[in-house]
Amino acid sequence: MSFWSRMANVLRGRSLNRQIDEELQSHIAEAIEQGRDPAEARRAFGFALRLREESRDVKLIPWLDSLRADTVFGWRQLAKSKVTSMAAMLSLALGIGACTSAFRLIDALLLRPLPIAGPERLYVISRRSSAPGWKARAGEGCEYPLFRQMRAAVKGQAELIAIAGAWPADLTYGSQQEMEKARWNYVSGWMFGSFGLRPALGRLFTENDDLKPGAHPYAVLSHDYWTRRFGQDPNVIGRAFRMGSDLYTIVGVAEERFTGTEPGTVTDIFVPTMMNASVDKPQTSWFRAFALLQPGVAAGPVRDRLHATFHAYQEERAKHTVGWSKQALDGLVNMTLSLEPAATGVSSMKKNYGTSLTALGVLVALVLLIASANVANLMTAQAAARAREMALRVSIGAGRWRLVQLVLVESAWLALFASAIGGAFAWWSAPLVVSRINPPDNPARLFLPGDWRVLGFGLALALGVTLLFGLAPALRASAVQPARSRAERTRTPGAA
Amino acid sequence: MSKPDSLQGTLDLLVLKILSRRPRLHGYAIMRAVQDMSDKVLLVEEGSLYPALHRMEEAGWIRAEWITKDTGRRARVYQLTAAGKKQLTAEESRWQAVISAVNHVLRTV
Repeated sequence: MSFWSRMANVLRGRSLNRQIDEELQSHIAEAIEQGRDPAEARRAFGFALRLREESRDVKLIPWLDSLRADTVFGWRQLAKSKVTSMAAMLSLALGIGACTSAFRLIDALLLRPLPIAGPERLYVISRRSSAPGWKARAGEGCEYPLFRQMRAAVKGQAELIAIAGAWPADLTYGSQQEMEKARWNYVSGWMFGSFGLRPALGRLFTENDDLKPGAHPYAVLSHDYWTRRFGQDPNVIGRAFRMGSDLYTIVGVAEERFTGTEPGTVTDIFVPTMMNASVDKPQTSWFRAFALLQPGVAAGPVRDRLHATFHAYQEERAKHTVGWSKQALDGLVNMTLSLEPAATGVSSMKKNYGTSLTALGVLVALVLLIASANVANLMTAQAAARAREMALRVSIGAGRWRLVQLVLVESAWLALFASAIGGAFAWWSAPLVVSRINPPDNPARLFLPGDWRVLGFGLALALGVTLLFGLAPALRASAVQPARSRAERTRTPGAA
Repeated sequence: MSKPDSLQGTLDLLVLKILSRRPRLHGYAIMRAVQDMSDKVLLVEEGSLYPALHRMEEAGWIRAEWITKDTGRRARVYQLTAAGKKQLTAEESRWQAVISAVNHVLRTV
């Protein structure tokens, strides 16, 4: 409590001074009343100003008080040279804005873990062939009959989850004339449960929604689609729509944070894998198989089991394949299977834009560095012009750290405003960049939340930039010697 | 809080003790009380009294309030808090310990 009262006292320094002064005055009056000599009573007090300072330091937090004074003074300094301050602010703001914008994109596409339970335990099953001509068949596609066998093989150690790519499909809520597009995603019924996701409305799929081919015409909407298409209408549960020849019923809405496992694409409608026509075809690969390991299970043994199952499946396939060359059959059998970490999701956009986005990030970081260097020069020039003020401060007893603080606080003001402008810039520019990635009729949609990650990055950036462009001028300004002020005074007579 | 040096500790002890016997005294009265009770042996200077009072106030040992005296003048009077009473007991026993230790040295050497 005492700490808080001292904090509060920092903000009402003037009334604090008045109270201390009044108490001292009342003491002197009392002494005179009791018959003491007025001059002697005053002298007994010594230097009243020093006494006040001493009592004042007890009643508040001195470093916070000096910080408050510097903040006010720094603001006045900036306001004094408006044009310079604005120029510095804007060039910094562009740098910070571009950096934050790039960070938002990189974070959303490459760094942010999927909003599911245990993203670090999620892997995607990928296959590769060393035989020539098989490169095109390598990748993450999987066939459903194989998926069934692999799922059984690792039961208890890992849960296998089938998730197809989110592709645009035509569907209608009314007549055939009112077709509309939505991003459609076939997923295993047990996906929601395994990922620890909760419904925002209605219910999500379970294992029982994914048992027999063609028997589960149910749909779960993504929160994003529910908001865009239905304005979060709670009566959407039970509504039907037609996609191809099937009539689907909406049973629920997924949690807001889950937009699918493909960064760069936001799924609109989830349907059970059993509704896919290719579900029983042994040669058609149409989805990605994810493996969610049980806690504490190592990836290596699981991969070996999966590979053994896969190898047997491919050999069986090769036996029933006719008309292929020996080389082609070898390629079919000699594929290797691997588990790739998928904590941040898997998407083609990630593969296509990962490198260029990283390069962009480095580039804008360099731009920010240059902007900081420019502002540092500007501040140094200003600090040099204030050498006499600094020398005076040193002469009346300001410590070096106090001068560093003075200039740094001024820099912090600049960085604060620059961050605010830059933040607004990033807010506007990041979604704009995303919307330009794909053709307009099929735009990329990236979930770009402004959360603590972005905020933390922005704050760290502002702090770093402050030190980057503020520390050098501050150290330089504080290195001034008190002797210098005397020398300058003799050179400019009349100023003293 | 770090261990106060003996001089400062003594002033605290005197002020706390006086306020425990005679609550609601202002600074000047406290100063006079120290002088009178010690037969003018102990003199408290204004320059050390007020910082000490304000420090003890921040520490929560004493509480201050403004009153208007009969003469019409405003004065800031102090009184002990519960924490101050506890502090007084601690300071008193500490003082006794120091005194007996010093006496012990004086007798044995």
